[in-house]
Amino acid sequence: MEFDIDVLNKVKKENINKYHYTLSLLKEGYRVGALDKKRFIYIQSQIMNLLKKIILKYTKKLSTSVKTETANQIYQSILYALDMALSQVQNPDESIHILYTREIEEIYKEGIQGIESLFEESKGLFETIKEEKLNVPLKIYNFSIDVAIPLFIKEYDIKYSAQDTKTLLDYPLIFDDMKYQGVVYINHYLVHLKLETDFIHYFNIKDVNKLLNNFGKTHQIDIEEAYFNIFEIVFNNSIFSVILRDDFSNILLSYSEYKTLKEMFVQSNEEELDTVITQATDNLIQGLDIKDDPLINYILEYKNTLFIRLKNAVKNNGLEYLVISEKNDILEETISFQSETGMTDHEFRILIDYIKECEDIKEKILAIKTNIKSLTDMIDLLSSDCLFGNEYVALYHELSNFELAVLTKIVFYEELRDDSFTLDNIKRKETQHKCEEQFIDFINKLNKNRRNEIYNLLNNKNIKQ
Amino acid sequence: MNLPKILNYDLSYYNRVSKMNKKIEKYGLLLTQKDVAVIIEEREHALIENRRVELDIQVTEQIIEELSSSPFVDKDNFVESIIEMQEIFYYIKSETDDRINDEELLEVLFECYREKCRGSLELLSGRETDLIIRQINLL
Repeated sequence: MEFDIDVLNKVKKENINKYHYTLSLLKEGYRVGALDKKRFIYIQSQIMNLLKKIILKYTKKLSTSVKTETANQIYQSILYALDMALSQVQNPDESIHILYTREIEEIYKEGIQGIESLFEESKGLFETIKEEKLNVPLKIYNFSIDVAIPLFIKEYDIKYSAQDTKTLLDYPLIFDDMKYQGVVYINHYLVHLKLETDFIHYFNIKDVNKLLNNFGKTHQIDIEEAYFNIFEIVFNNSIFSVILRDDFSNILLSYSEYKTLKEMFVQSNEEELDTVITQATDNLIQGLDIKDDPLINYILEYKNTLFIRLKNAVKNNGLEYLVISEKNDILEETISFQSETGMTDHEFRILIDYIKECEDIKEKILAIKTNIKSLTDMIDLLSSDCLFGNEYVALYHELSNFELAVLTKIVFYEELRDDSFTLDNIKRKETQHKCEEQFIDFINKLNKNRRNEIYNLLNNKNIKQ
Repeated sequence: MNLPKILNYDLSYYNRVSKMNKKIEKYGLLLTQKDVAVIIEEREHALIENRRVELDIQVTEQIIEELSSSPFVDKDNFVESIIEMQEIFYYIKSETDDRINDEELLEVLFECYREKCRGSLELLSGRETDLIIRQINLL
């Protein structure tokens, strides 16, 4: 049968599967009549003959049989090589024409050359990535670069298992198409990892690490062990920094800056949010003088994701998890147990006597707030029986989250050794001072958000002792 | 793609096994058309049971040739022995993850069959097969 070039016009691109290119080409070619039944069967038998030939190479002709699993693996590897060769031409029509006119083994050999070339290119790319590796403590990031990719390079088997990725690349990228296999997947991964790394290098690595720590505190996670993408955190904050103060190089935001941004975002509608993110992205690209087109495209693609996330964060009151701010700011604003040296014994006794005699609860609280500056004095005061019933609660209401976290650490010293302990529904203990009982009741009555804020502060190094 | 179905059988196999009669007739043995069909069918069955694909039938040919000269085989147990030996062969190949090639395995199997088992396929397929697998996997 003569090849009818006109039928190729009937090929529907949506019927072509880029992950199983050859098989979908055969199916579509047969459907439109570009490949007749005879040619279709001939191609299949050629693939089987090639499979037999490669299985015998695999066994070095010393065995006539292999496990079915091995045969399948080699068969998939052949298809992978054919996919590589056929996808290198401009369009599916041309690929079908190749299947009609050329021998399968010839196409296969071209595919193997294509795989070899992509593998070499990927190795080169990885060398650059190694040189530019970020100095960050994320184990999953370091493992991917130090162990997983070298393992792939060492183990990759072009002849018999080209479709296998055979490694654990767990560090998540913003855009990671896991339907790709073998070296094609690794190459995509490395290209994207390089783009993300290039972007992060526009910023000071100390700032990046500080930002990651703030991210960890915000999400209550240990960043060394956690599974997250660095690029998105850096990019998000760089955009927020541009929106707030037109600053291209600073990714760190104070808590008060976060509050300003929150106010701005909450008052904006979707269209305004989209505009502000788009403008900030354009300004950032110009401000950082980014000239690399693939990186610009990557950024512009991610910008759309950021817009959706921002929109959802505003809607769900979750902005603090997207706009990462410096947690130290919170301490600066609220800490008051800052004095190392407390009151003298004489001063303390006078204060206790005054509180006991004073009948106005507001005056009692004012006296405490004015005079108590150290944690030791506060603890002594609470256990001195100078307050009664609701007066404890009134005092606790005057304390900041940080101060409450300090008290929590003292009251629940034993319980906090258990990792599963939370501040939700705490039970009263049996032998407790009434200040502790009142403290438990007070904490139980707080709303969940505030309890969470206090709980998050428990991990702060300033109150770990 | 059902590779075992495509690869395990070829039209030429029937003729090839039938032609073995020329080699075994000197031992007073003969494979009938029905015997040949059963041997080929049981070979496919053993391959599927042991999750294998095979591109040729030369292992079966070698088993036939080897057994035909064995003093422990006669016309009554010949076909049954071929079938049993095929099963043991593919079982060991899979259980040892192909650590041993065809020639070497046939040699080990037949030596064991002659020397240790004195022609008992029951002994060979039980304890001795396990021992062979263990030895190969230790290599």
